[in-house]
Amino acid sequence: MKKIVLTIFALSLVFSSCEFDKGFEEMNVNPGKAAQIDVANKFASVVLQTSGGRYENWRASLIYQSVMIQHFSSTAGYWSGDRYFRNDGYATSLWDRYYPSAVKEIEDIRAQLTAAGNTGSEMGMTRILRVFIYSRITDLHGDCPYSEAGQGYTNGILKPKYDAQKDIYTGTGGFLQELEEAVAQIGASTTLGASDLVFQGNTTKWKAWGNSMMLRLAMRLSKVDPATSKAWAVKAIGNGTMTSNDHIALIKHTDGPGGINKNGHGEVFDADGNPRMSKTFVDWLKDDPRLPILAARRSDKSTAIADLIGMPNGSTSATVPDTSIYAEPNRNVITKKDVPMVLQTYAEVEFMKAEAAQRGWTAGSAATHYNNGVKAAMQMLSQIYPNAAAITDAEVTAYLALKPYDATKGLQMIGEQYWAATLLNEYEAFSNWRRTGFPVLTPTNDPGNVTGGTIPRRLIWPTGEESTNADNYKAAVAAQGPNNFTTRVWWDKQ
Amino acid sequence: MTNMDNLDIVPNSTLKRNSLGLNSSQKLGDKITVDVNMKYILEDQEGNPQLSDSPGNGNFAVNLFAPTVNVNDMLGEGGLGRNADLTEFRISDNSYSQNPWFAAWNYINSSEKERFIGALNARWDIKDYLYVRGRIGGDRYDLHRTGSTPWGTAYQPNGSMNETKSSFRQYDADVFIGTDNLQLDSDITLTAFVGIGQNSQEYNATGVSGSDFIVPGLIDVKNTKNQGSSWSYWKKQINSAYGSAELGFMDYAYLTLTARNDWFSTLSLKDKKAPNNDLYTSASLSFVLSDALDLGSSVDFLKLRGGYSQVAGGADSPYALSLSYGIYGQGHLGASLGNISGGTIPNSEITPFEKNETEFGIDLRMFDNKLSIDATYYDNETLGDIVGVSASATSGYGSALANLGNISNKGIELLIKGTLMQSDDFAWNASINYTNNTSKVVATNDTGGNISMQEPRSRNLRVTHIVGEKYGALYGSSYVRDASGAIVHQMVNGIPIPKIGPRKILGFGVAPTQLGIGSSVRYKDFNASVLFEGKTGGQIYSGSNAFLIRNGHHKKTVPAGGREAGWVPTGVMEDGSAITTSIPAAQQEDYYRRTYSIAEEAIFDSDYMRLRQLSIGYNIPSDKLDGTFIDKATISLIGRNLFFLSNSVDNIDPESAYNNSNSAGLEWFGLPVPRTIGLNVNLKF
Repeated sequence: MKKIVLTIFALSLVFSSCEFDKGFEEMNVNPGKAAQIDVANKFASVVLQTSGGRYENWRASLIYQSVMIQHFSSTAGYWSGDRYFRNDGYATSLWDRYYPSAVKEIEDIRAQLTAAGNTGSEMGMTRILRVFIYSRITDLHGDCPYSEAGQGYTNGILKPKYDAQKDIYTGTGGFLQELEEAVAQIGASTTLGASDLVFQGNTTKWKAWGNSMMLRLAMRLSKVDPATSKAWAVKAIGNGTMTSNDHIALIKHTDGPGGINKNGHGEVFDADGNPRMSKTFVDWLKDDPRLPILAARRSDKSTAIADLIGMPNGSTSATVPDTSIYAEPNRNVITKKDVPMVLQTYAEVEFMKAEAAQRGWTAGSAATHYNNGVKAAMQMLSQIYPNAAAITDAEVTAYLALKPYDATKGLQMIGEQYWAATLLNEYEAFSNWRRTGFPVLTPTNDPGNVTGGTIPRRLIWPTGEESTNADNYKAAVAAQGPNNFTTRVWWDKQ
Repeated sequence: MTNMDNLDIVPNSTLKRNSLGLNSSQKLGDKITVDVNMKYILEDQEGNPQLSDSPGNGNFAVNLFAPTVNVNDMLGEGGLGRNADLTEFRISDNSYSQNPWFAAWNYINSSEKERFIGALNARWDIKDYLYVRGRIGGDRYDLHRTGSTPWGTAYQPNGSMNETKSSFRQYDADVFIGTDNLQLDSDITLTAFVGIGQNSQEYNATGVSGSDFIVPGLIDVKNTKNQGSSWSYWKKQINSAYGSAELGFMDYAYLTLTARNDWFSTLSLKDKKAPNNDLYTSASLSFVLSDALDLGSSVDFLKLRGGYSQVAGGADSPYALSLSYGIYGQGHLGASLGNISGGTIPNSEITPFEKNETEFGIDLRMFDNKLSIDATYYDNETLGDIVGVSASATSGYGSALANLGNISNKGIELLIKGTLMQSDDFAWNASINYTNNTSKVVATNDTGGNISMQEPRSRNLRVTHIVGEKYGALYGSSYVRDASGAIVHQMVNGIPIPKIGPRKILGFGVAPTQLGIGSSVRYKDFNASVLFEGKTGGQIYSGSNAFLIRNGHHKKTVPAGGREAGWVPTGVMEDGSAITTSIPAAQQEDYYRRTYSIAEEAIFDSDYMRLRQLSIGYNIPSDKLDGTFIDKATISLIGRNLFFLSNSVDNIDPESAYNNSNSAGLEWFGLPVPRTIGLNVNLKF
């Protein structure tokens, strides 16, 4: 007995002197990961995340917006935007993908630059891209997490509040203020170089984009707050916006090796043969040299003008048994996986300047800006899409002679041109249509629609937020209105 | 040595397993004993069926066809569901509605696994009252997986493939010193040991993948346009020190005390303040009443036991305590891509969780062991469980790692066995196995928030732990109902359709009650047995039924008078008036498209009772085997899962739900548990 007690006692002593977790701290460090990486690698990543994957480009961009806005049309039942069906997963796809990727990454970069005391070009570029990312979310859904978003790790915020869209645009730290400060801090050069997948380190182009985005977001407010809209638009124009097609903000893609490298829209067209050119759009493109570049007949790829017929939105497999007779987005030109994703163009800037002049906000000539815009919109195609035939100055002149600017219906002409110029930037096309009301679109009216036969004014929030972020979600519904497709966002005042 | 060949109910799906085992025990002198066990297993799997969503899951497509569609019309070239040029034999305009034959015969999803399990156990009896024991055990496998979406697949015309080689190593080792049945006093014995142990696990996988085949039908990564590679590695370890002492009194009362301390590598981090280890103890007392007292001749054995125990555990996954970054993809136009790894917010101060349990039991055998009752009552609570607390996706992350709350479970387990008749030629036995568990989420985090787990593809419901409720609530969108419970409808485009109500608790995924009833009969050399099993008290969200209803394939979507006659739904209008509008056939689809978004529509009680097993066997009498090399021979016919006595879920097998504990109660086109009928021949030489 005594021996045993002694033995146990002795063993206990031996045990207690052991270090039982020797090497554990080193073992629990992942050998395949780093504790921190260079901002450049993160910046390149976040730019591609902003361009987006197949997932949200399929659902939010094409399945909903491109057909709602009648660039395209489709008879397939799951193309929910054509006939205003509700598909929660599709409608919330941008939100679902952007917050855990683009938003998370841009906030991480901002935190790293802030910690490093960076107040120069890199911070300025990061802030501009950050505004772009959130602008897509808020324009599509309305109120959304902004000031507290993407900070689950840095600030431990698991349930971010929804900021009012008014504050997101015009508040302290809001879009307009952010863009002004961001452009001001961009210097002559940046260390990001090749990791800047938008402008390859050209800070002059970043400044022009920052101001152009300020103009875009200022114009958004024309219905809800014309005075603020005008003030910021004038400021943006004064600060220097894009001046040529060389300034277009776009992200270049390659056909592989991974999905991340490919144009998300291109991946969709690879997998989905359903989209056709909308009759609304093809009819509008009559006498327009862009038509055979953008469209081709589905059955035989013909781009002869006579063969290019748009399919009416609202068609079903019952009303259109054979969709191959209609034109589809030209698969030889605009649907490839290695074409760039366009974020904002010089043509849009000229159209906005035309609108500002037409409204009397600036002294410029609306007609001149309109003509510049049309020319840029036509000639940018061969610059963006390698397979697009170049549209000559003569063709532009001929078109403008056929459709000269008419101030009495100036806003409509500008709005329609803007709509045509933002094909495959469906987020922008949908926003500008809601703001200007142009082009005038006839809604489809399928019995299954959830909008009372009207074109949606927004896409819904994920209803999963009801359980993961309940209080803030309820507050947002109380502030903005019911979570459906007809509630208007703040700037989309009736 | 065993050899198994299994053909699945899905075409082209096979499993082959060969194993070789070796056990040996050796005495070295009279004080040292060494045991060695080894097992070597080769497993070859082809065409593992894919579950859940189309494509790749042939079952999904088959379920969604109209009943008038014959699957055999889709066989295509050679019955492989494809055309002569190797492209998919399309059955629909929707490229995601896949030809099930194509899925079964052309997709590759195969694996080869080589596994080795070995254990060495040595004991040295130093003195007659003292021994030292050492054990080391290893379990390791190498796995080679190949997967391919073939060239010609409608939704991915150029196809893709991947090859992964992974290895897993697990070692357990411990050494302890102890004493067995040491007589401390004439009435008291001691069995005790103290020791240290270690468990370590390591995983290492490398893979290559490619997309866009260049030569159709050639399954080789080099034959793809876009290639990628991956590496995945982790290692984790638990070290332990432990001791146990059992004091026996007069051979009928036993007191057992244990203490154990575990250190977890998964909870270790430089500069961490919270502990990475936990000390836990237990005490239990058992009392063989039938030995202590004379309980009469009918009681053969009666034991009462009671105890309190603690168990601690660490985080399952390593590397979860700190944020890390990775470089991914293969760069883009000269730039390398990097970002934060993982979607869970790390927590540097995670501590071990504890489970505390109080248990009482009774073990009674009576009437010459013809009746036995084994009953247990338990009451436990799990404190500080390590879970990912759901975060709003807008935080940038899906969840945050945390020590969370308190989940309690109470219940009984009861096993009654009886011999109803017995003679030399005839025996009849029966048994009942009953368990009932009541769970409760006592606390979650500081604010008592919900913990969200999985959601189904329809995304209108989420498995959620809610304070004050049972574990695993099915929390999803509901119908709006009036005071009498009638479903409230609204007019949309001229037809009445149900309003979507708020999310609420629609049921609980874990069935609290299980019942098994078995019986066996033997007559001379014949024997037969039957086993019924069932569960009750839980609910299930059936994604299959949700889909079938939406697409008009569920029986309930056909009104009594047929669809063409129009149909007036049951319920009331928003203003409380009766529904009078009939929905024409063309718009009935819109009605069910709406009900698809209401999770409540596809919630069912998951109660069932099934014939789990029926077997009939025959022992060939040994006198008939005289003169052969066979010593003993048994032949039996075994049927499993033959039918349901009752099943409260439409169309599906409630057991085909995903059975991951975080998503209990969700079902989405799973394969039913197969009905098998087998002939078993058992020979002994």
